[in-house]
Amino acid sequence: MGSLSKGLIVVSLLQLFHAGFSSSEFQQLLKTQQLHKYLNEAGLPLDIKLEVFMGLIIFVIGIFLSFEKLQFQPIELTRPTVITGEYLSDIRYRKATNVENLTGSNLEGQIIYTSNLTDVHQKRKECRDWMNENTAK
Amino acid sequence: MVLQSGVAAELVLDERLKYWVLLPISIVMILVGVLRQSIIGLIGPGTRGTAVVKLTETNYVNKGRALMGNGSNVCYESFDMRREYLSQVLGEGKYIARLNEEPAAGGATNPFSDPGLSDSIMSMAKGNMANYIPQTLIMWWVNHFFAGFVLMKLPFPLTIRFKEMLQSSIMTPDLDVRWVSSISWYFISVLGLDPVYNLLLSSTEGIDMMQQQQQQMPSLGGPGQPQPEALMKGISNDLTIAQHQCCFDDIEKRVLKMYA
Amino acid sequence: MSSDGYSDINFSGNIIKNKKSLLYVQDSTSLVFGLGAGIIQLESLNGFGFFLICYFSVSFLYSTWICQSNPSKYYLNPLYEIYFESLFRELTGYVMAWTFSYAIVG
Repeated sequence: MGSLSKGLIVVSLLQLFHAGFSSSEFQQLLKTQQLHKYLNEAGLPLDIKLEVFMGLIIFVIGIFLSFEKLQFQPIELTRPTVITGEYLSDIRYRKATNVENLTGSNLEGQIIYTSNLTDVHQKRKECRDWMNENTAK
Repeated sequence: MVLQSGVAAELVLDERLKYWVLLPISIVMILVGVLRQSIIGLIGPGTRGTAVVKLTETNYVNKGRALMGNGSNVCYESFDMRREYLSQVLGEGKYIARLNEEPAAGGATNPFSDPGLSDSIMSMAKGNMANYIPQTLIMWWVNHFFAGFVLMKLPFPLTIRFKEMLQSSIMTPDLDVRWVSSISWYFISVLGLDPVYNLLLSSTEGIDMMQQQQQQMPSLGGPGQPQPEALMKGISNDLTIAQHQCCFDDIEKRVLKMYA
Repeated sequence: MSSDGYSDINFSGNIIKNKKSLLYVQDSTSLVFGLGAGIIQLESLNGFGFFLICYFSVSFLYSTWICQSNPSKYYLNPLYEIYFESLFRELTGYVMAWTFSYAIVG
């Protein structure tokens, strides 16, 4: 969510709050001052209505601007960021896996990378040997 | 607290009703929803495991189906080899899961004896309890503390049948149904709070999604589904008579024709 | 058990993701429309008409802007999912917000 959309949403909510306050005051005035016969036909003042409508429109725009074109950061930082140019993700499998392939992540990773089948002692031994060889010099 | 003004059906309500009845009820309902969500997350089932034999069984059935569906993508020799192997293995029922010595053969097994099933029923019961107990509590609270006065005016007219429910504790037989007591605000918010929860708790929705995916996991041989033996036999029979047509047949000709 | 099941496979993760973003848009807008309707003191049929107009125009805007006029790419059953699936849910949310702000303001 970009700062623009956040700003728009905040502005619209403030507008709605202000319009609500004005409208509430107007209703109070109607009730306490017995002005029904003069004001009731006209309804709310036009500027309050306009403020509400503008607030709603700005809110909708803000919500829609909160969607940004999807970007994916590859696992290897040297590769360029993948930009699909869409707001949503494609549901067809062959298209959806394109992004996964480009970012270098594997959908079946939890099946393929069976790290719990690795012989840890063997790996550690290799690492230790390598360390010994290289640090002895 | 309710004043009758000069106009016939127009009541002037005390301002404080809004701030000391309407707002507290709304806030309490939202907070209880948030609390309920957290409680469901806490008492919900952890990661449920599936027996390896069961997974193997499912995977072999899927493998047979996949070969039937995608067989045209391999050449004839590969297809034949796979077909022979799978039809034999599935026909024999080599990988049918046998969990802890099946009970007496032929007898209908009690569906509730399955531990996985009873777990899911238990969690469902817990979820229902977590839904109903707070609702009853709030309803009692609203009815007990905020009864006996008109709280608000609805923006839309209702038929007279709602009068009994929405103006339950107000002793005015002629009052318009649009003037309602606090219990009706409770009903309206029970119906309408779903979007609010979605916006407030969208970050915790992940739990729900994971549960849904777990429920969608195909469980062969569950109640109401064909038994795995029959399924495997069927696939095995289908495989033995399957016609194979490879997509690589005459591919050179087709490519040449396409670009000719 | 025919080849149809494999000809177009869908990625369930993305289906759920797209549904969530649609629901986010519809939830937030219908709640705020409800607040607005209460502030300008709409009553009975006007209020429901206001909701229908706003809901359908937001859905239309969603399918042209966010779906880039190609909703079938992102939804299995675009017409139903975008326009009708959550209509009742949003209506109840709208009515709640409408009643709330109507009572607070009036």
